[in-house]
Amino acid sequence: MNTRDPFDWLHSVNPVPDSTGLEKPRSDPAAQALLERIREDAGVSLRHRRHVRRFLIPVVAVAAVTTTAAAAWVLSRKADDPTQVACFRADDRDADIVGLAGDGDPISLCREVWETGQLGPSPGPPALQACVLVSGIVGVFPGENDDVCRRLGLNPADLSGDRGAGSIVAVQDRLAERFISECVPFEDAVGIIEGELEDAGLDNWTVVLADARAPERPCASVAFDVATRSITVVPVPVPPGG
Amino acid sequence: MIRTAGPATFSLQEERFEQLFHATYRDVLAFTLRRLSDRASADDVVSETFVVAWRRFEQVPADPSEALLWLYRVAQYGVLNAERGMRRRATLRDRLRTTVPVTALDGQRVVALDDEAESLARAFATLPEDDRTILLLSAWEGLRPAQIASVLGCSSGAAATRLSRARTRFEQAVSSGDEAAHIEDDR
Repeated sequence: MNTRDPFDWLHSVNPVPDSTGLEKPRSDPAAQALLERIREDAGVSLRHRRHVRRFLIPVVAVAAVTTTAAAAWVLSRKADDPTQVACFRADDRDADIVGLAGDGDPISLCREVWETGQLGPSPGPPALQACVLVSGIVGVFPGENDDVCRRLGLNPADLSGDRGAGSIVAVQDRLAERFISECVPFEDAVGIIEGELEDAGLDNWTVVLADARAPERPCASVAFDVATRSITVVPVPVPPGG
Repeated sequence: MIRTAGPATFSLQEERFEQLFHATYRDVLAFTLRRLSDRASADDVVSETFVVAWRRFEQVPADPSEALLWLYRVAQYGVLNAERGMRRRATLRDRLRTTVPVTALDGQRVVALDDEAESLARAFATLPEDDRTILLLSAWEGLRPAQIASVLGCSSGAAATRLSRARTRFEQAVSSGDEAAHIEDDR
């Protein structure tokens, strides 16, 4: 006859009582392979990511034999995607984020968010630091100096000069306004986009024509891909009222 | 200028997804390993679960605890699919039998415990699938009825009632098994 409570017994035969005994995903090859597959599924350019990794390895090696100041200079780099900023609540890569798409200085943008109270008590921490996240965008963390980036395994962001965000965001705004408000004929779209890029001095962007043109889709819409610096012209139906 | 949502939010979504992945991967893997003894099958279910999470990321709750329950819900479907075509009850009974702790016990006690475990496992395997599912969520993941409700997609009240009924049926199944064993012994 059974003497044990069935539910207690069921609890006692848990094959994996504690998940913390399993390999952490950062050191689990199966987890890393899965993450890479999902990135592929998401359409992220693996070539681009691998380029970043190859870049990091020699730079870290150089940093190891230089002074701290020199290492800080060598390790800083430009963001791959200057159109977005992630403001972190704490100096932790797993902390809550407020995401922004906008132009301007990332630290000033996140300072504005802190002042609204969205990330914690206003006005927020006394100092913020900008790092380049694994996805290539800038992440802004509370911190007195850019040691916070290195402690998190990230590169300090090089914010010198024009980030390019202002220009491309402005182009994005102007094109979106025009292409949404009226039916821009597909044939005219390339010229309009190239004109905007030229006016903004963005000569490193390209325009791509999507397939799937059809008589019922005579108008054009645009899709931006910051990673490849390309704008794709997509055929769409006539918008309502267009 | 600040815009909280723009046309190019892809990278940020990826960043958030990676946070979720690193925070929950081990819990989701443990969930599947508890139910599928084959590591390859468990890995497949984990993989499918996170692919679904990425593709439906806008549906994943922002709260980490709620997000884990959402992932459990997806993984539960994956586990059921993986078990399709298998002799599920026999497989689970075998799995329960092999996980009975036998260390630090003398020989007589081990035999007694094995017999007891055998009858408990047999009783558990006779339960309807819904009962087994809810009992395991409670016993192995340690979920409360409100959390079980999130995984099963029902109300907290319904989850509490279903759990209570499942426990009662489990106890009844164990008693029935004991009685059958006594009849067998008396012959």
